[in-house]
Amino acid sequence: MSDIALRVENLSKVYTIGVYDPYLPLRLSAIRALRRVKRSIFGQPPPEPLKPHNGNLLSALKDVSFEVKRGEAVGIIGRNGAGKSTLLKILSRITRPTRGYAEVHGRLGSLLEVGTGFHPELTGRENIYLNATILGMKQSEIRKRFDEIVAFAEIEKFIDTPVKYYSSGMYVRLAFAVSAHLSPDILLLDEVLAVGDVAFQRKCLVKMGSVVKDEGRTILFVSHSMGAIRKFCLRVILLDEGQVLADGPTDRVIAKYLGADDSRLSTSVALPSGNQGFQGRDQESRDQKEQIGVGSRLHFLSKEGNPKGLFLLEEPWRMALDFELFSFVSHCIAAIGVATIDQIAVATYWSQPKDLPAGKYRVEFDIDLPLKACELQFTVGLSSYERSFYYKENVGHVSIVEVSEGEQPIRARGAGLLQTAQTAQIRPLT
Amino acid sequence: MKSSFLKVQSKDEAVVRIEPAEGWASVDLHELWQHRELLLYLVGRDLRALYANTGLGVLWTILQPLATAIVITIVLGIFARIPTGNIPYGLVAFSGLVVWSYFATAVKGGCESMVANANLMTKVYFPRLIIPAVPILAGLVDLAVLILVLLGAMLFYGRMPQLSWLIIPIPVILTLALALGASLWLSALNVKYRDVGRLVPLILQIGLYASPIVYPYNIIPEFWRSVYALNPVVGVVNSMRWALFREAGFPFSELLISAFVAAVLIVSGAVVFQRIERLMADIV
Repeated sequence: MSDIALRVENLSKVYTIGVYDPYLPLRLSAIRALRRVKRSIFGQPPPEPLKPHNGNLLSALKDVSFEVKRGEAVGIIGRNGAGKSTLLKILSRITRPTRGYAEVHGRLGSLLEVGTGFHPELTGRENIYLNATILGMKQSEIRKRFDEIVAFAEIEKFIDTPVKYYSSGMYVRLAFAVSAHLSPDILLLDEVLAVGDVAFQRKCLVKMGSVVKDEGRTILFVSHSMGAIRKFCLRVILLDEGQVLADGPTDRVIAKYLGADDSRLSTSVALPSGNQGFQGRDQESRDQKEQIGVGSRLHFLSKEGNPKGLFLLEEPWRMALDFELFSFVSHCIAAIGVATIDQIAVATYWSQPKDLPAGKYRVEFDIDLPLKACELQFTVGLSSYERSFYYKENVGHVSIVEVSEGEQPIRARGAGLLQTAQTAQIRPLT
Repeated sequence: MKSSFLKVQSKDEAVVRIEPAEGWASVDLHELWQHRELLLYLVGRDLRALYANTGLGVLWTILQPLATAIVITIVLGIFARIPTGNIPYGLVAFSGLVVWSYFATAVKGGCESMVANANLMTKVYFPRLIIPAVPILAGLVDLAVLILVLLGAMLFYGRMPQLSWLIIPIPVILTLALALGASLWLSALNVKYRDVGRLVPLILQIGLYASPIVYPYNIIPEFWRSVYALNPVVGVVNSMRWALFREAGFPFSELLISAFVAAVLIVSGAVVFQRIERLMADIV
């Protein structure tokens, strides 16, 4: 009995893209056979084998290796096309790898897409039984858990309705309920929480947490929601173009992912040209505004002034904005807005107004926000008096993380964006 | 803590190794057996879907071959007067059609099964071999009903039950085996080459006349019989008729051919199926 739940060794998957022509090999072998006959009649040597050129090849996974221990909840993140779903498809044995292998220890259930394994003509009740039987459960086992599943999915009224009449929300609720309740030692979840309302998503996360913590099951969770990943995965694997780019504590890997995303540099970012965010500005006036001045670069620095894109909790840090003025600007103000990547504005910093001649300038801001672990992005603006002539949203990226390299993360205590001082005392009420 | 550890350990822990699809694989019979409930469930699903929303329900099962038998009896038995000795032509034709309609429906359903269940195959794992077996088992219900009707017709014509009726399961099982073997081949090929799905009805149509369904075996000239009997359906139909009418001697050699062909089809079909099956999720 090992404590390994999953072992993936040099797993690779190659897809043929383009038009699939199943008859090509047939035609080729027919042609070859004819040539062989012709050549043997005329006493010539046998022909060279023909190579099928059947579209292009796409490597969805390249030499992916990792191990997952029993009871671990591992998040898998990466951009679209990074190979996340292919990996889960191979692990759930829907498709085969091209090279390498994977070992699955124990029963494995998966929820890969909305309505995974549901038969539209069958009722909710029948589908629960169907899915459970597919997972290899006995009728008696299913009966025991049936009511629990129906209650969790909140579809009591529709349980005897064919699922083709279900809304997508009901569909995914039932699918999740089935997988989470029936499912076995290892649970694979792919983007399932994207559907369903906030209340149900929260319910799912709680259930997933208890599946891992209380039932000791293993979960592999693919999601684009860093919030959900952060909530209950202590470990995250980052895939990029089919390869494992990072594998480690959630904070660090998420930071790496967001930092690497969209080629945003983590320690400084070039500000894109062209204004955005103004209302009703035509091209001409925009160009005119650009004539006044533009931001050129945003730097993220440690307190000592070293470039850095990743900060520990409670670590003070700085931001520097480089900008260029093309003409004299009176009462110039440079401003930076700090927001989470979920677009929640956190704070705004601005400089003291100053009359400035044309030239290149830098302004530095000290940031001392009492933030919890999170991902930040920024808005940059320049204005003269109250009139803004330069404005950029959602630029740059900085991660606030709980742990430094090599440390094991601890679970964040309490939800929220801000750190709080824990000084409250309980005293008896008299 | 300790108890939960023991609980985990007592579970039969199967380690599944997922590897590339290369070469020929053997059939995992143990895994198939573990999924027997799924097979039964899918059969039940097919049956429910078949009779759901139909007013006549199971009557449709009887109606189709019965109507065919009546038309054929009128045309071939009364007008063309195919000689059937002292057995009523209607019984000869209906006994053949009972076997044939099961065989044809099962093979057609089996052939389409993989493509029809594509959505299941791209979403969940289970031994794919189950899929082509489903329509073949589901068809047994229809067959059982038809056999009852056939035996009823026997009584109607004044033919009392005989001991030989007890061997009817032998042709039934052989037909099932033949249909299974054919379906394994056809369903797998149909995933790759959709032409197969169009070809099968044509072959079945020819097969209806290339087998002793609407005529008795003995109208085939002696000289051709050895070739004719290579058709595995011949042995099945002949033994069915022997059980019912006990006309000629028991068709041992034809039955042996049927059994042999069925065995070859099933074994080779399973191997081919396994080979194509591994690629199915990617191409279906």
